[in-house]
Amino acid sequence: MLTKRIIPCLDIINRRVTKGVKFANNIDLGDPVEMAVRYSDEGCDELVVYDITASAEQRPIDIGMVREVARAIRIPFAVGGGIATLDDMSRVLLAGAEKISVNSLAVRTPSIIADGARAFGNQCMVLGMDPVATADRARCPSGYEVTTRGFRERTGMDAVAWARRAEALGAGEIVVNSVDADGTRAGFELTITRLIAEAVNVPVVASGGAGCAAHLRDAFTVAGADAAIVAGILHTGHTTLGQLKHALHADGVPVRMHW
Amino acid sequence: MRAGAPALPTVLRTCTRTPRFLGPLTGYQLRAIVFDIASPLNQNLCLQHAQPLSDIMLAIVDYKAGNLTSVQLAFGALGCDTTVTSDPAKIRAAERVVFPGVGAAGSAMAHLDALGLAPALRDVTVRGTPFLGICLGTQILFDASEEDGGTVTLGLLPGRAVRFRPSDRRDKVPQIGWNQVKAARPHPLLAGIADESEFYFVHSYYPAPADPSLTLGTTCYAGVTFSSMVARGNVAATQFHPEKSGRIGLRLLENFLRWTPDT
Repeated sequence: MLTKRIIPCLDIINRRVTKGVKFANNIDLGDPVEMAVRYSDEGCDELVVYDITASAEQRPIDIGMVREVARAIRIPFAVGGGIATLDDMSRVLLAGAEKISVNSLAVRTPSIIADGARAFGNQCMVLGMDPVATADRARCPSGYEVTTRGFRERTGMDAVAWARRAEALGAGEIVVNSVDADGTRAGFELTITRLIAEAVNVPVVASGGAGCAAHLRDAFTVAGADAAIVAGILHTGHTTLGQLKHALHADGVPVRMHW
Repeated sequence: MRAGAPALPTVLRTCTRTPRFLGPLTGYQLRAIVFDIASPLNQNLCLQHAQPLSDIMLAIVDYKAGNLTSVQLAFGALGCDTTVTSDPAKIRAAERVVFPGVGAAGSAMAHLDALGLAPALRDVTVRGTPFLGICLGTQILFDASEEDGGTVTLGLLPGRAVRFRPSDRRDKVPQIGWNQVKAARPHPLLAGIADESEFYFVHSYYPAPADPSLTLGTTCYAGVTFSSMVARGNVAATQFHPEKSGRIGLRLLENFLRWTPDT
């Protein structure tokens, strides 16, 4: 049986892993390569590495770091942040990453999804989106609106419609990162995750709000997510991948138990 | 070599470097190896192990079907230097051949034809060179694929690649992630790997061998139990990505490097 994936997320500033709530109060958590190796040894199924300031600083992603992570671990990882062109994608993939994650760029230039999928395959193209609940059902019938630029800008786009469009363009996976749940440790935003999981035929990754194993279980069993991103609770030592996996396994959720 | 140690058998003497798997040897350990080699039962194993992984001439076939970095890095982690090549002569000269691939069958076959690689692949598989297909490389070893409106593929193994047709919408296509491989029979490539270990998959099509005896491992997804690993003679192939399957995948690749197929 295909197992549900647990994906630690490493947010990078100046080659250091950081964690802040809604991009504020960032604290230094360690070296990205060391943390990638540690999580891989502890049984994570995949990793995401976001160069979170590359876009804002209008500089390309740190390829040297991508190469070091690729050399150090033998599991798939996705890279996001600072990717603006097909050339950028090519460099990241040739450095050893498995997937490219695009977010704000895809909202501005949706054709980048199709171009990337054509050049590298759908399985390489991950659409990240940051939906927020909205009362404006006229513009956003699902009740969720896509935001960009680290939640700072609203787009007026319906989150479910955007997920469907991204799939049609060639996105091979969709990460649903709830603005409202991010950093709260109160659980994933199950409603929008489920709406998107039911709307598309590609894997959906729940993101934002992981606080304990039960939250992951709900993302998988209630919302129908195929994978879940965890960050803060692992980085701060609140829990471990082993504890999460054992709890999920005991609850009957298929997870990879041997590595 | 230290004074007083017994003479090395020829095969070990010809090694220019200490075999990695042995580490530093004492005279007593060397004597044990000499005795081992004297036993006909162990002879193959010892001769095989005597070649350091770094000395193996391993060709990774490059036919513009996806990114080969992970495959190179994985073999690099085992201490094996690889040659990534589109040159039929280098493929024919290699001691072992890895045939990876990500993408679509139609364009993969077009690239293979344009590069004139099909005859070289046929030669090495017929000649007995240990050969490992991965993902799309595995699918196009068969006669045909359903992909791209039906594609005639290499025909080195009997069967075809067929698409997942899930009846349950929750089964996404492609299958992306870690799934179990259940061994259908023992094989040197599976040595030291627990049965039903998980490997990393990314695929929409899967191999359907015409001869069930080809199947080495099976995996369940989208309502089917498919052949996720096949082997016949010197040709082995996985639908999953051992190069991205952590420590267990690395063990499979190491097994491939040490594998002496029955001929």
